[in-house]
Amino acid sequence: MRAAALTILAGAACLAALGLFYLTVSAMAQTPNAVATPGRAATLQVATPASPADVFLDVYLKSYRPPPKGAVEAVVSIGTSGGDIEVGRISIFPAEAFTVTSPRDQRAYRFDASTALEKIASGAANLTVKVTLVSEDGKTAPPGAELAVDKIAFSPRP
Amino acid sequence: MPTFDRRTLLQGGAALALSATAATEANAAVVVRRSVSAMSLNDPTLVSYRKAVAAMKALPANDPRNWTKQAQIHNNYCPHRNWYFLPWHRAYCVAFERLCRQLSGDPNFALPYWDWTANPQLPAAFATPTYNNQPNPLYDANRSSQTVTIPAVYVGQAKMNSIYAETSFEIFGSSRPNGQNSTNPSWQRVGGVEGPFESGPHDHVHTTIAGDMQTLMSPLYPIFWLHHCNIDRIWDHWNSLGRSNTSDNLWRTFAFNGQFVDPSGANGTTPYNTAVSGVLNIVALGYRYTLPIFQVFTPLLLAKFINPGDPIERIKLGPIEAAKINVATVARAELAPPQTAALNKFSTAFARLNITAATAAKPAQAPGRVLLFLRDVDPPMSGNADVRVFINHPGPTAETSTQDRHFAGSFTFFGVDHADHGGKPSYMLDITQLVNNLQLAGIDLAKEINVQLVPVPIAGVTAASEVKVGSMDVAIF
Repeated sequence: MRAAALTILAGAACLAALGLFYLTVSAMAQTPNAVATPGRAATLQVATPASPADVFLDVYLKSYRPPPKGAVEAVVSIGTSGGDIEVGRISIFPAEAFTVTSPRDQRAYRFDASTALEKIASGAANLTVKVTLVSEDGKTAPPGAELAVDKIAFSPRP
Repeated sequence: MPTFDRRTLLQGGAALALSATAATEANAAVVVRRSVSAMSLNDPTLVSYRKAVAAMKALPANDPRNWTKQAQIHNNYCPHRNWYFLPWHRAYCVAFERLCRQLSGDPNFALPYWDWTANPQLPAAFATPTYNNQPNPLYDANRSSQTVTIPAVYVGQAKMNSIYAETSFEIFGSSRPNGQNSTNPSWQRVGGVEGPFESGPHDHVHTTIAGDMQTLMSPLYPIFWLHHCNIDRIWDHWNSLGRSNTSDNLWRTFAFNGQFVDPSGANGTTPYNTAVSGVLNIVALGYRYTLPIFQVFTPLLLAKFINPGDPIERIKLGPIEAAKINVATVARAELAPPQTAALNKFSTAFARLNITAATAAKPAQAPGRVLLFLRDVDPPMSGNADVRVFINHPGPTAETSTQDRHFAGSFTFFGVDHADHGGKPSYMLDITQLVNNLQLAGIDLAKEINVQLVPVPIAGVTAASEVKVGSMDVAIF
C-alpha cells in the first residue's frame, strides 16, 4: 500500500517535472532574443504595419564582435510562425567590433519591407523579425561572432 | 511639356544647336571613365594607373600624395552610414584621379571603374603578383582570395534594379546624420540610417574581398578606387534616370575642408576644398561615364539639331510592336548592299588607324557617325520605365547587363506626360562606337540590323504597361 502510494507520488512528480520542462521550453521559444550568434538568431517582435505599401524595416544595432577567424553577415528576415522572408543583409564595414554608446554612434540599416509584407499578409498583430548570422562564404558561420540588436521598427517612406 | 510656335521652334532649335556645340567643346576637356573589364592588361589607362600607384608608394612618408597618406584620408574622414557618403567619396576619387595624372605623366588619365554587376570576379590586373616580370603595384596579397568573386545576391542585376527603383535620396544615398541641425564639420561622421545601396553592394564588396578592404585603410588596396568609381557611376546613373538628390541645405552646403589635396602649387599640392554642391556636376569636374543621349520634342527641332547634312544611307526598321514592361521587342531591317558598305567603312576606318576599342586610351573618332532615331515615343500610361536599347543582341532580357557590348543606351520619360498634347518625345542615340565594337568583335552587321527595346520598370509602372515607338531608323553620315 505504502509502496503503491510512493509510486503514484513519484509518477506525479515526474509528470509535474515534465510539464514544467515543457512550459519552460515553450517560454524560451517565445521570449524575444536580441543577440545573434552562430547557430542562434536574434528574434524580436514588432507590430504589423497597417498597410504593406511603402514600408521600410529599420534595424538598429547595439554591438558587434567579429569572429576571430572568417567573416559573417547578418540575414534580416520578417515572418510569422509559418515562415519568414529575407528583406536584406548586413555586412559590418569596417569589420571591427563596436558598441553604440551615444546617438551619434548610431548603426542603423533600412530595408524595403513592402514586398515581404505583401507576401506574408498574415493578419497577425505582430511579426517576428529575425537576424541570423551566416558565413559570408556560404559555409558554417565561424564561432565567436556576436551581433546585438538595439531595436527594430517599421517606418514609412520619408 | 511646352508647346511650340514657329518662332519658339526656330529659337529653340538654335539654342539646342548651340548647347550641343558647347557640350561638344566642353566634352573635349572631359575624360570618359571606362570599365576596367573593357581593358586589356596593357591598356594605356592601366599602364598609367600602375605608374601612378608605384610613384605614390615610392614618395616620402610625409608627402601628402604618398600612398599611405592617401589611405589615411579615408581612415580619418570618410563618412559612412549617412548622406555625405556619396559626395565625399566622389570628391575623394576626383582628387585621387588628378594625383594619378600628375604622377603618371598622363594628362588624360581617367579612373576606371569595376562594374561588379557585369563582371563580379576581381579584375585580372589586380589578381597577379607580377606584371611583365616586375612586381605588380596593383596587387595586394592581404585579401581573402586571389580569385574573389562577388555573389550576385549583393551586386547582381536584380539587386541593382531594386536600387535604381528607389526614388528617395535619403534611402538611396543613406540618411541624414541622426539629429543633425547644422553644417558643423562634426556631423560628417555621425551615423544615420544606411540605405540598401551602401549596405548592399558597397559594404559587401569591401567585406567579401576582406584583408585591407574590410578596414577604413581600404584605399591601401588599389582596387578600392575602382570600386568607388563604380559606386560613383551608379549614383550618376541614378540621377540620369530622373532621380533627384536632396535639396536640403544641410547636405548641399556642407563643406569638406582640409581633407583632400590637389596636385598643384610650389610644394606639389594645395588643399582641395569643396562643398557638396561643388561635386554634383561630374562634367564640370572633368569626367563622365557615357556619351549623352539627346532628347528632342518635335521632328522640326530634331532635324535642326542633328542634321549635319543628308545621311549617306538611312535604314528604316520595322514593324515595331509595342514594348511591354520587362519584355524585349525587336525591330529589324535587312540591309541593302549600299547600306552594308556604308556600315563597313567604320570597321575599316578603325583598322586603318590601328586602334581597337579594347586598347584605345580614349574613344577614337571614326570619320562619320551612325545615329539611331526613335521617333514619337509613347510613354507608359502610368509610372515610368527605363527603356534599354540593344543592337543585334541574341536575346536581351530585363536582367541583361548595361555593360553588355550590345547595349546602346537607355532613356526614360522624365518630365513627359502620356496625356501631354505638346508632341511625343523622340530620342537619338549615337551608336558609332557600338557599331565599331560589334564589328571588331566579329558580330555580323552585314545583312541585318536589329534594335531591341527592353523597358525596365521604375516605380509606379504596371506590368501591363507598354512603350510604343512611332518609327525607328538608323542614319549613317
